[in-house]
Order: sequence, then C-alpha cells, then structure tokens
Amino acid sequence: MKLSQKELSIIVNKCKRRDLLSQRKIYELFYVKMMSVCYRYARDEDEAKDILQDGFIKVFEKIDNYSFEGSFEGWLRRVIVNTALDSYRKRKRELTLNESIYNEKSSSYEVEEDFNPYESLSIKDVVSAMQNLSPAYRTVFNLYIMEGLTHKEIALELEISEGTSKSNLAKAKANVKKMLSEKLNENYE
Amino acid sequence: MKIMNKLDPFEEIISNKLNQHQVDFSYDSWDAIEKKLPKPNSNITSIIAIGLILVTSSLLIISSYIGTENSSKKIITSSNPLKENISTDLVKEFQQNENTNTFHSNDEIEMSEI
Repeated sequence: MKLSQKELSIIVNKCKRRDLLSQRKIYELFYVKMMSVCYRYARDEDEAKDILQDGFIKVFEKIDNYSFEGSFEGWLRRVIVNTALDSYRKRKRELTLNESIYNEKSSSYEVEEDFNPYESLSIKDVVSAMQNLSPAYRTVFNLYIMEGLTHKEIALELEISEGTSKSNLAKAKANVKKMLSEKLNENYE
Repeated sequence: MKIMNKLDPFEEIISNKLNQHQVDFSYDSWDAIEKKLPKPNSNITSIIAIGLILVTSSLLIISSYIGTENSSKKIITSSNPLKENISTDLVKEFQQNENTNTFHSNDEIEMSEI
C-alpha cells in the first residue's frame, strides 16, 4: 500500500490527535519494514515483537516531536532502533556475563577474508546468523553496517570506547562469516 | 541524509541480504500496542463536558432570572390590591375612629364642664 506524502501527513496529524484508526494505519503501513529492523536487533521472533511493540508505543507517544522535517519513515525507524538500543542497554549486565561464551566460540574459527560465496545464501540464513550473534556484537554490527553510524557515534550511543566498537564489529563479522561458512558447507554436502 | 560507512564486499552482501528481509504482516502485535497506547486527548468528551457546563449554567441563569422576574411581578400584582385594600380600609377605619374619638372627647369635655 503506497501513500502520497500528503496522505501520510494527514494520517500523522491525526495520530498527533491520538486517533486510533490512524495509529492502526501507521502500524499497517510500517509493520513489515520495522519488524525486519527489529529482527536484526533481536535474538528471536519474540524479542523482535517486544521491541516492535515498545517501539510503536514510543512512536505514538512521541509523535508530537515529529515536525515533518525529513521523512516520517526515517524518524519512525530511528525511534524503533533507539527502542532496540534501550532494550540492549537494559540487559547489558546480563549480556556482559554471557559475552565470554560468544567470544570463546568466535575465537576458535579462522575465516578467509577473500572467501565470497555468500551471495548464494538465503536471506533467512543471514538473518539467522545475525540473531545468533551475541547482543553486543549484533548491536554494533547493525549500527555500523545497517544504520551507517561511525565508531565514534556507536561508542557514544552504547557508552563504550571506540576501540571496543571496532573490536566488536570485527568479532561480529568473524562470527557471521563462520556461521555462514558452516551453512554453505551444509548446502554443498 | 546519513552518509553510510564504506563497506567491504562481505559487509555489502550482508547489508543487501538484510535489507531484502521481509516478514509477513501480522495484527498480533497491534492488540498489545492498542492496550498500552495513551488514551485519546478526549477532545470530543472535553467539548461535550464544556458544552454541558455552559448549557446547565445558562439554564440556571435563565431560570433564576425568570424566577426573580415572576416573584417581582407577583409582588406588584399581589401587593397593589392589598395595599389598596389595606390603605382604603385603614383610612376608612381611621376616619371612623377619629370621628368617634372627637365625639367622645367632646362629650367628655362637656361632661367635665358640667
């Protein structure tokens, strides 16, 4: 369902007046895209749904802050990503404890840098590999590769050092490559 | 517009694959969202409430105005004949009394003189 900018503005304005039908319309319009974003930040579907629900609630609570400067989709996506980051920060302590397990897993694999048969992999395999990353690695990977944040911005966002951001990205990539390589081997066998 | 980081070939592939990822639409999350949504600004209810207050207050004002007008009319209409009756009766009685009084007093004078 495609809407013109004017039609979308009308719906957004109605959302600002807490119109339930318009809020539902926004949900219908952006569910698929935003759920895909949530999937990347979550370890499974349930967590992705939690992030999406909290994200949409924040969107409707803070919709007055949207001043029609820039695209609504971009603003909405930013709110959803921030919700995913909030969720990550809340569980950071728990995550830090589990981080060593993921580190041990990743350190046992060596991946060839120029190996590039990943194009043949399915989207589902790539999403699955992302979801199997540790939350810290997954978050940095998403912020750097999908959202285009610099390591400096990531460091500020996640309250970590730039060095940690770079290190987490490298380890995340290594882990994803390892998981996808395994998947490729399975496919070839 | 956000300037994206320069990605290596592997990162490019992952990024493209993830961007292509689509999920099936579902209303499952909507029910949960709807329950947690802030209540509407209740513009309509506030307008209705203000309207009701205005109507009741204006009705009260009108009724009190009509009440005072009626009561003042009653005073005028009811007091006038009363006043007239009272005044004419009193005047008649007074005149009668005065006549008799003067008569009695004259008698008394005459009697005292005698």
